[in-house]
Amino acid sequence: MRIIRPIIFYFLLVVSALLLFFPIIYSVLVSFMNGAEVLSRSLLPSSLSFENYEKVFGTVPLLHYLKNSFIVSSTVMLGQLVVCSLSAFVFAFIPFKGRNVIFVLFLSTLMIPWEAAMIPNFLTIQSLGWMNSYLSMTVPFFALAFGTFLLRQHFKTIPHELYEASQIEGLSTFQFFYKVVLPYAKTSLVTLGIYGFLTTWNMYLWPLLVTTNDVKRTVQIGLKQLQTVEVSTEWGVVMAGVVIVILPTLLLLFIGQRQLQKGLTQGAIK
Amino acid sequence: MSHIELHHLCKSYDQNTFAVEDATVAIEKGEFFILVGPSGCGKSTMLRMIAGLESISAGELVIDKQLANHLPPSKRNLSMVFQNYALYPHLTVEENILFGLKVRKVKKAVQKQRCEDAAKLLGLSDYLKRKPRELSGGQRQRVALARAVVSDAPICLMDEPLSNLDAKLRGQMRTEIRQLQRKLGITMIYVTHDQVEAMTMGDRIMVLRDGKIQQIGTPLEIYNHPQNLFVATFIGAPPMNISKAMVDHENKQLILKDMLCIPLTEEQMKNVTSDVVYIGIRPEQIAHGKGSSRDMTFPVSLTNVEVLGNETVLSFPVGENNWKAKWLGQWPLDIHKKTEISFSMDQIYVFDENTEEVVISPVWKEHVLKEVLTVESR
Amino acid sequence: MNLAEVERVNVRNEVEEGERVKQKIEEFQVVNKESFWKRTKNVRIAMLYLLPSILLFSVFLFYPMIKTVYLSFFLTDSKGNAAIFVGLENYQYLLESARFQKSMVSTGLFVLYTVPTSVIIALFLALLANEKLRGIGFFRTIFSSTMGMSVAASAVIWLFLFHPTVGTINHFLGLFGIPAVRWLLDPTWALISIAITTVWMNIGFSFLIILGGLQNIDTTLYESADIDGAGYFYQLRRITMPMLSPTLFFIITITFINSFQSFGQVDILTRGGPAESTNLIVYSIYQDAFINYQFGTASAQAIILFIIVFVLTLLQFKFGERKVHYQ
Repeated sequence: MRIIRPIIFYFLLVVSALLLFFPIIYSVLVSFMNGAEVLSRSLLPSSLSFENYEKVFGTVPLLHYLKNSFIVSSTVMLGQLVVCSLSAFVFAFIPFKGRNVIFVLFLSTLMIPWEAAMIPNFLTIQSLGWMNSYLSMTVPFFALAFGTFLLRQHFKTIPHELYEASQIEGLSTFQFFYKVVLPYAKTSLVTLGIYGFLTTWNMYLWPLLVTTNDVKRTVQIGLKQLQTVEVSTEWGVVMAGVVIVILPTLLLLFIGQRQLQKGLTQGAIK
Repeated sequence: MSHIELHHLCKSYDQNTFAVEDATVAIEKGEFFILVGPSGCGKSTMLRMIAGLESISAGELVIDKQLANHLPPSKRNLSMVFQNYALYPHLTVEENILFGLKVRKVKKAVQKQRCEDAAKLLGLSDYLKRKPRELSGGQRQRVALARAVVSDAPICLMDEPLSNLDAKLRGQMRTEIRQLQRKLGITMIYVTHDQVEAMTMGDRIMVLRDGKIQQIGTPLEIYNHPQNLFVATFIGAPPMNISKAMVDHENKQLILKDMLCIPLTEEQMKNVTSDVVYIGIRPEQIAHGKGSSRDMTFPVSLTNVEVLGNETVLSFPVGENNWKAKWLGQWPLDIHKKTEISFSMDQIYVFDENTEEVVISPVWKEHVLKEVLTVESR
Repeated sequence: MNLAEVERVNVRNEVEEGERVKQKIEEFQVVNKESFWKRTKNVRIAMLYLLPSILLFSVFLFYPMIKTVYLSFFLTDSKGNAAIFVGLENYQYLLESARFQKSMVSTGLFVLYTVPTSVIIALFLALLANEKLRGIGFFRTIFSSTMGMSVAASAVIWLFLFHPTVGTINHFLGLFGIPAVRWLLDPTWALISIAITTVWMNIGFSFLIILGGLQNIDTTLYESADIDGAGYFYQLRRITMPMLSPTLFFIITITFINSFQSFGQVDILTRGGPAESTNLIVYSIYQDAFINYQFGTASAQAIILFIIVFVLTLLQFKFGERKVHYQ
């Protein structure tokens, strides 16, 4: 039993990993294949040619889209960190009459699906003149109830004595916030940062609505474009595009996996 | 004029009960003042009101002749040491010590000098670059003390600073804190639930219970002249032995159920008004064997014997209560055997049944004690 | 004295004590000479810090939610301005429309396909990856990888895998002698195809959360069960599942809500077809509003989506809470 058990587990682990990861591996493989190899349903490319990658940059302005995605994702990430940590700080440290009411208000936003508010938001963006602008893809996402709760949860682990000690030493509330609270909760900020970057990078419906030309388009919309232009002809090129789009987020995920898991579970459950 | 004064200080959280009721006291400059009491007695609340961390419901707080009720904590010119030390985990020891000075924008050179002095004073010079989590409990405690030292504040408040340390370290830190306070000449207000800390460290002690001040006095005053039953039993280890006794007004004696008759003098009898009283006797006042003729002598059966090396604590029932005696030396006696004990009637405390106030207490031979001390110091 | 009397006396004493407290406080109260401005410092700071969140929530969530309700009572022009008040007619029209009914059925089926499957697979993987084995970190990374996959990329990959001629899945099935499936072309299979894609995408996040939940369980529970000689499945049933229930509860709710909001995979894989069999509710809203400019009916659908999500969350909370073991 002592020897069999690990063997069973390793077997199951390997099989599941292969099944789950196959679509990703295979798309990487296809991205190196030429048209004939794709059609003949080969499993492996015959040579490691980067021809498809060269082609994809010619088909759609992918580099430009990548730049847009980076700007949008980083901005949302920073915006969320600032806005959420400010509100989380209030919920963790500054009591006042009516705080619970506002807390419930924040909670209620979790019940509203973004899609249900999408139509008026689209009209708002139009009337603000934010179509085809970074503003429309960043500003509406700065406030995030989930992020606020996640940070609040971590802020609450800070001993209240630190707040009192800082009061005696003469720190202002804001000094306490950025000199003590933010460094103390560094790890949870990283968690939220990764989460915010990932979800924004992967956003699809909203950028589709608010970008009508290539100037501010993100890579996700680029992928749709690529697929419509090249469908059923050049799968190798399409897959090269896919690989380029998923590479940054997969890397970020591989680096931050442990961090993300710890941070998200704490914020979600406790 | 005293350094810190409380006038009728009150705190109520719910407007229905008092957490601290009507506290009035004056604390002198350079005094080591202790607030002691069981948990929930309001001692921490009182300290936090002085610090400005808790609002004051009623009454006046005067610091340096200035009404301080509404001053923010940082304007009260004090430092505070917390039970869990409140060190910033992301800062090094040095940064922790200097944190307050940086906020107050003290000159860099002064900062450096004060940090060095404080580190030297507390033996932290080798640890300045470490993070708090790399330190032992005692070292963290010292960092917290160093922070109070560098602040140069004339008042220091401490909220049970030793309760997270093990017994041995606690004894050591007790001495260190006391020496530090003397050396710096600061006014110290120190909260503890540990009566040993209260007795050994304080110039004066305030005993609290349910938000009310029970007694204020020097350690020996509190020990020798407890004003009520609570103070008598709270201070001293093992606590004072207490039993209920009937008062025989006619024959001028107290009758302890089936066991003892304690005759009282005319003078003493005047103070006793109720029909039932509590009598009390300190464990160390109970002697082994027959005493002199004026002493009460009676046999008891031992239920427990704790031999501690230099002293022995014996337990035995007296009426419905369990009493203890503390004898110097080693007395490995058999339990359940009858043993004769005695105590002097001059050492008895008597408390009124209703008010629990003391009505008779032993004469405190202060001059005797002083003589002993002077002989010893030669 | 009987009990009631004792009670009455106690209450009276309490009231008297309260009176005494109030009197004493009044007697010794020191009036704060500080201005109102200084005393309300906390509220002002709090409001300042909360302002960005409240402002953004108001502009981009609460206001549009109300506006959606408003629009759902109107026929609109192509710019989205409310033109003619029609009351509940939009709703009436929707409920009678065969297209909308079909969309609701598809959405319901889709949720039914995805939620249990996602959670069960993620739970299975998390249990595997929670074993203390050499190299387990590698497997954890692989299992969580789909969290980093965007909807668009995932959908394009699966579009390829489902492809009738070059698609790998049919090729693979063929090796076992199973006839080719018309994945995205057959109305029944199309919905299943989208569900498969969605489940695959869900696994990464669900896995990460469930694994975290597993790791939060106190290991001494397992150690004491080992000493008692309990087997793997007994421990799974008696320790793991009860202790994990809050996490599962959370992830089920999240997956539920996410399923209702699926859009990208539909847009890339099927565009709602064939025969509108994959016209899920958000895609339907998108089409009505941004392709056909029927903002009124689209808003009515958005409100229905909102109510479904809202009710489901509440129901799940009420129903799930009883079964959940909170520490």
